Parts: sequence; structure tokens; C-alpha cells
Amino acid sequence: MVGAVIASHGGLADALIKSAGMLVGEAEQVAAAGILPGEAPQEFEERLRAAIKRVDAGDGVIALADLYGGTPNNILYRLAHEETNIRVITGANLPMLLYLFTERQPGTKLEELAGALLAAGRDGIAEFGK
Amino acid sequence: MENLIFTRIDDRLIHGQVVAAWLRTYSNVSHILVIDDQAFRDDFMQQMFKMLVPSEITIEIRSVDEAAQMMRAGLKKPTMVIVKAPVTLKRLMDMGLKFDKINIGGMGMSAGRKKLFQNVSSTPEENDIFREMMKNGVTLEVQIIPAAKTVNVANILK
Repeated sequence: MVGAVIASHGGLADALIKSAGMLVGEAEQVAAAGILPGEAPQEFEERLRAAIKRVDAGDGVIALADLYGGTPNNILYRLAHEETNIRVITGANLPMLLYLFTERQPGTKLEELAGALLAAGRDGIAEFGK
Repeated sequence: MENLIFTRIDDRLIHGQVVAAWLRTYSNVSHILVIDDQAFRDDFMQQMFKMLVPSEITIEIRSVDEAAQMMRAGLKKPTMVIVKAPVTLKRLMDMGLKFDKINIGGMGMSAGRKKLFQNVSSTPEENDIFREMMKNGVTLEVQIIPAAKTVNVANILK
């Protein structure tokens, strides 16, 4: 199955995974990596690489970063350039995580998943009732 | 140095929102010069950095030697200089270039470094570089983003 890594500043990645798990049950092949306050980017990169390795079962990895242009995103983008089977989506939010947890199956293709997660993330931003 | 508007030490070099905030404060800056021997060799990094800055700002990465030449010849546009670590600026200063004020935006904790102040960690060698800079009249300030309070390194490092 496509593996998933959530990367963020601080504990956001971890919290997103926990909250999604609360709602729909825990998922397999998901790892969080949050850059710590004052952590050097090289150290964070090691942890991010390790997280990717942990979830990669050979079907590709979808990486969700919290912020466009942030260090987690930038490092992932560079890693995705080195490996061909990583896609990077930014603006990770809970609707995106929920879609990941509920819709990703063995057999889901990385490209489909990337497109669907973008849509799910965007669709989750609305004024309720309007 | 003419056209040198802002000089910053940040081990993450360009990370979207932070650079954007500084560009809003120094709104006359039209060019970013990243000085780093490693990043210079990396075409991919150059491409990536272009994506991280507003389209009207030009950006280039230069090796230390090239940057020194460029700066001696004179900066052509109002420029923000960004380096990863103090040693890069020291090398430039040793080549005769002068900086009046240096902003320290981020130096992460890594091997050999001890926490200096907030999110700035440094090695003993880097602290010596800071001392040397201050002795040469450079103002060193820790400030991550323009909205944050400035802390003069002279008040934290003896």
C-alpha cells in the first residue's frame, strides 16, 4: 500500500494523526515527523528519511506537509526529487488526513491519491451552513 | 556597502513565510543573494528557491568566492544576503568585505553547538566569530521575524 508521512513544524503532524485515529480508527503505514524548535534542518532530515523508510512498502509514499515553503515541505520536496516515488502535498489538514485514512487501500495508486487528497483538503475549508 | 539592505544568518536559508515577512519590511529589496558553497552547486536548490520567493524578486545562489567578487564590484540592486552560518560571513570579512549589521535568524542545535539564545545555538568557534565581528564594529542582532523583539548579541555573549 502507498505509505504516508506527515511532516510539520512541531507536534502538528503527530496531532493530526492522533485526531484522525480518534475519528476513524488508526491507520497502518503512517508516520509523523515534526521539526522541533531549534532543531537543525540536517537532523530533522535524518528523521524524515527514517520515517519515509518505515512506511515505504514499495508502492510509493505520499508526503503531507503542513506549510508551503516551510522547512518540512522544502526538505520533502528535495527528497522527492531524489526518489521518484514520493509525492508532496502541502497544507495538510484534518479533512485530508481523514480521506487518507478512509480511502487509501492496497491497490490505490499514488497519483490518484495525491489528486484526491488535494481535493479533500480544499473541500474541507468552508463556512458551515452557507 | 551600497545596496546591501539586509544580511541574515539562517541555517534553513529560505523558508517561505519568514523571508516573505522580511521582504515586506524591507520593501525596497528586489534581489536575494544566497551565499553558500554547497547550495551553489545544486541546480535543484536554485530552482526550489525561486519557487519560495515572490515572482517579482530575483534570486541567485553564489559560492563564497564568487559572491566576494560580486560584492567588491558593487551590488547592482537593493539586495538581501542570506547565509547558513557565521563562518560564511567571516570568510567574506576576511576577504575585506564590510558588514554594518547582521541579523541572526536561526542556527539550529546540532553537534558541537550549545544554546546561545532562544532558537540560536552556536559552537565555541562561532561564538569567537561573533566576538570578532563585534570587535570590528558589526552590530549583531537576533530576530527571527520583523515582529519579534531584537536582541543584541553584545548583551548575550561576553
